[in-house]
Amino acid sequence: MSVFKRAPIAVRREERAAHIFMLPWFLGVIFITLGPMIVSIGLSMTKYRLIGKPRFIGLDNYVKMFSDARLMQSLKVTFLYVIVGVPLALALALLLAVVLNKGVRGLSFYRSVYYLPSLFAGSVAIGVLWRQVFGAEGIVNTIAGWFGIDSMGHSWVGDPKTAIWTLILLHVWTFGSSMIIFLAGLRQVPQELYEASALDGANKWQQFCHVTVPVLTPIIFFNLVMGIINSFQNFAQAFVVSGGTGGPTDSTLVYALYVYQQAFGSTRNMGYAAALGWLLVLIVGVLTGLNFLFSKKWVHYAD
Amino acid sequence: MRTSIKKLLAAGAAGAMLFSLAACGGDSASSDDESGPVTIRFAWWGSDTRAKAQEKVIDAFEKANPNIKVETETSNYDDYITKLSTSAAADDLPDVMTMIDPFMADYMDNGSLLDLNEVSDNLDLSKFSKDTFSGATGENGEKYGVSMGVSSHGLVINTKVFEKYGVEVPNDDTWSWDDFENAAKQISEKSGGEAVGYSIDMTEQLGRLWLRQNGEDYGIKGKEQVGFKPETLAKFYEFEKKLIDEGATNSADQAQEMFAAGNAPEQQPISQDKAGISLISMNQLGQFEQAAGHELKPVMWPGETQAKERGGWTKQGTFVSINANTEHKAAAAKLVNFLVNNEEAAKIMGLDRGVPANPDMAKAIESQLSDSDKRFSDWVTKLQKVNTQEYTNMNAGAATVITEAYGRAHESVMFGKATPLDAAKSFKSELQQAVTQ
Repeated sequence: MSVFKRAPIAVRREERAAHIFMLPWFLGVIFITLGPMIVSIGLSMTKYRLIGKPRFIGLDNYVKMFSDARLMQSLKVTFLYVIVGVPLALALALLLAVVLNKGVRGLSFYRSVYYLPSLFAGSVAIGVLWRQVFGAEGIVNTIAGWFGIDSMGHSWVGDPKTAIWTLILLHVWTFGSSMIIFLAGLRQVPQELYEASALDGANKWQQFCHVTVPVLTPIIFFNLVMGIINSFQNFAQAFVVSGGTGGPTDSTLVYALYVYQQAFGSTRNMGYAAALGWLLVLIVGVLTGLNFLFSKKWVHYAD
Repeated sequence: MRTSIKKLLAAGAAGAMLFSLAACGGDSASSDDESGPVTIRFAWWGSDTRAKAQEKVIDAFEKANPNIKVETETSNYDDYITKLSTSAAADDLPDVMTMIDPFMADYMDNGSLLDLNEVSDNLDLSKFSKDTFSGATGENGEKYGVSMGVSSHGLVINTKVFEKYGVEVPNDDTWSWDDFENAAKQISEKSGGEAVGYSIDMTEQLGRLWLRQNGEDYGIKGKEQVGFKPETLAKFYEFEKKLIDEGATNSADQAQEMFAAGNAPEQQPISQDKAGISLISMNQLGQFEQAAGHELKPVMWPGETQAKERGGWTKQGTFVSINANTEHKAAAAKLVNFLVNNEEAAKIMGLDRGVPANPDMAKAIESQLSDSDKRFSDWVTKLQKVNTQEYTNMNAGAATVITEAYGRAHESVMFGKATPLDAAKSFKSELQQAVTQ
């Protein structure tokens, strides 16, 4: 006789059903994610131009990275995008969550409206729209004209000084998904903490700094990590706004776009692109690791 | 027990036989007599308008060849290029596909394309002169594609804009780069900001023209070497920069935005009467005129008569090629033959991909040409007459990077990120790297 009690039949059935329902996901992970990932390790050590067979070249692709000026440019662009875009989006999300949490009338309406951009900002259509909005004859210039700023004819997406900022703005605009999570978090802040701090004479701002934010830190942390990972993967917006070139003068050459160009552009360095993909894994991995390391200093988990 | 093993063996043997039968079926289909019905795939790039016409041609072909069914695939140019290379990687190229120099060089080097001489039973190439295979010819005279039309990029003048601002249309048979600059400058000045003289082009066409006028080119025929001096290209960049600074063109950021938006005819300043001169792919002349609502004048290149030698060129706009590994050589060859040698097909397609390189077809469609078609075909004829300088292809590695590498160098000058000379040097070194790779 076994010492373990077998689970009742009903539970086992449920487990089996669960496994069957999870099967599509498992298959997807194995064949669509894991499989290609393993193959790409192999490819990253070859010269492979899609047409023809891959040729093994050892670590040459990784060595090449050190002398690749466009890779450096692309890293610069990507880090600017992440370092400016992610905190801005988070701050905006938190601010609006706090405002909405005050019990605005029609809360669910606003919640949906602010969430919408997160749903479709990655789409091609929004990229096209953005190019129009910030174009030489776009609505931004029209509105600037109302305030006496004559920028008509200046294309914000066509100027290397401003093009990346239009993309950062587009990213900030997608604050909605973090906002929803913040809203849920705000509901969890114990009301008695506010009452207690009010009795001690704390004003609203002090309450925000010393009650709301500390309680929310696990959620801020979650949003920060997800935000960083997502922004490193930005592709569609930069692709559409720059017409696939990362231009003008590589000023919108975000990392994923550069990987795509290497893989499918005129040079078709599939092997090098695979190596670049692994560099991205490394970068995001290290950043996430650092995030977790530093999180011990500022994230408070209620116990 | 025994019987079941026997049964199993029998079943296995039957299965094996079925397999070999199926294999036989495959074999006989690839031989040339083709008794049974076959299905072949045909892929091309282009607009919806082109797709509609092309489908009509396919219908006519299927009617004439009831045993051949054609599956079609189409997408815009950029996606087509990407899709084709991934299909090549998966060993799944279509049986028949449109190709373009320099993009096809990789496929030629790699042995992905069929030498059309091999299928001469079903494909008649006798009407095509030798120079129509330039760009598609292998080292030993292999013909990897046959022309679907002659076209080229070229400048058009919006005479309405010239008239409106009282600027004289230059004589394009003899105009110099100075004349070009003056005309552009005058339009910008006299229009008071409503229009620009020249809608600046971000591609490599004019740069290459300039090099060729100076007796240089990107490549040197038969040599793994880049064929131009950075100083020569730098002169052209300086000229363009001057045009921008004088206000003879739109600003670099506007040009960049338009370039990123994909250069649709109706969005171009030239078809909105906001520019006097613009560079277009000339087989789109009709679409540009339609967008503008009036005619545009295709012109000869500036600086040709003053230059060391004429720099212009004409080339085959599109080739059609056959997959070297097709299982249905004969059917594929029949389709290609129909596309390039059949009057009905020629009449349906018109000048969509350029002037047919088969003179009989060009003649067959003459009577149906619209006015703008005629302007286009006259321009091609004239260009072919005056430009005798050969069009040199670079080897596969270099040819494919020209567009992007030039684009980056050009942008860096236009936005003042690099001096003309440095930009020209970096373009050259990128090409050099690609040549020797």
